[in-house]
Amino acid sequence: MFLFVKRAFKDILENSFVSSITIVIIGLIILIISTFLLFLDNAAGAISDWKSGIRIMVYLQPGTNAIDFSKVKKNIQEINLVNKVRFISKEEALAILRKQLNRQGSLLDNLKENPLPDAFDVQVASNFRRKGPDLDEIEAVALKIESIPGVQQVEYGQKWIERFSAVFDLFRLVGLATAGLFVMAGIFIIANTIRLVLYARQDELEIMRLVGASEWFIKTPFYIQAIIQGGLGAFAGMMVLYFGYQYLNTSDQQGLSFINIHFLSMNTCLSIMIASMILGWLGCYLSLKQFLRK
Amino acid sequence: MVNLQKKSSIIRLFHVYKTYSDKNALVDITVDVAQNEFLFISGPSGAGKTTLLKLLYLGQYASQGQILVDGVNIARISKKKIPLFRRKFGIIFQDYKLIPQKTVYHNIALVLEATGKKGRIIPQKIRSVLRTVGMEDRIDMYPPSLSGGEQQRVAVARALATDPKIILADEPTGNLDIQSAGIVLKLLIQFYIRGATVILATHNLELIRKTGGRVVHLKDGKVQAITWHEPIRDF
Repeated sequence: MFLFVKRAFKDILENSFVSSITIVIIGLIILIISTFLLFLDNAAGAISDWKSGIRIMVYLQPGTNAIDFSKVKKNIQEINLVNKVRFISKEEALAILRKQLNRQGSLLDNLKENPLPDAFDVQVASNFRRKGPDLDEIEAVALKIESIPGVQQVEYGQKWIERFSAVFDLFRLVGLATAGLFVMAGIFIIANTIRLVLYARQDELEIMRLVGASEWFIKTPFYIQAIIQGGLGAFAGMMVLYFGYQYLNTSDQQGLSFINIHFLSMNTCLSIMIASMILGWLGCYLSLKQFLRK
Repeated sequence: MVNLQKKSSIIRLFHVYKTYSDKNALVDITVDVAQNEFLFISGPSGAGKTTLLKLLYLGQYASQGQILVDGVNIARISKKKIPLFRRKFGIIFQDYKLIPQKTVYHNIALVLEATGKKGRIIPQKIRSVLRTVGMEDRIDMYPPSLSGGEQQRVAVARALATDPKIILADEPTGNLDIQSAGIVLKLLIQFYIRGATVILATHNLELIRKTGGRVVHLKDGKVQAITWHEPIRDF
């Protein structure tokens, strides 16, 4: 096997121009796909964070007394997935509103009576510990709360999140399709590069076959070469992405300050690397299959 | 040159045909080649000499008929076993088929590595075969810097390196001057003397006359005659 690896490296060096083009192209493909993965990963994290921050506001009918409050609270707490329930009296709500209005808070001074209802702030837990609750879970809890006597209205940012999630899903779908096309392009580029090398070494291959070299002996160095190219391409692509990420993270990018961007996990990086090597192997396989059939 | 009656056949062709779309390259060839025979296949260009050699090492399959090599019907050899089967042969071509980017040493080493030889045996064998063909001092040179005759001697050395039972030489002196052709021919005869079977395809009747031996004359893919030539000099 050492002999094959040696031969593969030698071939890469002997065909350095074609090999470097292949590595650069694989690097670019991996850079594009990894950038997309980085975006998806961070966007998914952000959505999950937002979802976990979703509160259901339960407004109570006017005139509900303290005994009814505790009944409603008990009923809400009994609903599956309800995590925390906090009572917000209409006085507290008015104080919060006054604080939010800031300077315009004085407008509230002229009110003869407090128009805000008493309410409960309900936090929904998820079935899964690591991500926020999904929209169906929130909706199910909201419907159950709505049916409790004494509850006038239930509110949560359903439409906004639904729209954002729909856009995100569409983006993910388009991105995956594009990534698929890039992967296919990568396979064909590698296949063509290997084919160029095969054409350049046609005589050598013919001689090897004539003297009784096994298919394994002929093919293995090409496979190793393609796997090395795939690995180097992936490494180069991810290094560029990492430096880009470092630049974004360290420089003052005001527009992105609200999102905590994290780099791809080590497992994802390794998976990309392995996928790129498989990409190389596949390109080589297609090329050899077609070429050696002759 | 050889007493055929006492030797068993290493290659047998029974009514072999080779057809390319609508052209008959070989028609009804029936020939036996004895073990340790020096056989010539003669004929003008397009007679089917190269095709016949290709059928023997499974470079191509016969369209019809049967070929036995070493007692094995080669049509039944599975694709996976073809490399092993080809190790019985040492093949020499008119255009040498050396790899120009590799030195003489590496051209021969490739063949040895391809046939599974490892370690110190490789340089030893290379030196030994290069000594046999008188090319030991050219071991680190690249083929383009050698003359045609020298390149063909390296090609012969490469064919001998794996100690094959059968040498197939397709017009090995076709591109060489008389002197170089003589050297290459002598090498093949030396190899024959050591026990190998040599099948040499050529259109050069002078070469056959000098060497002597059995000659299969081909024309338009058919065996026209099988003759016996006494050598001018017995090797």
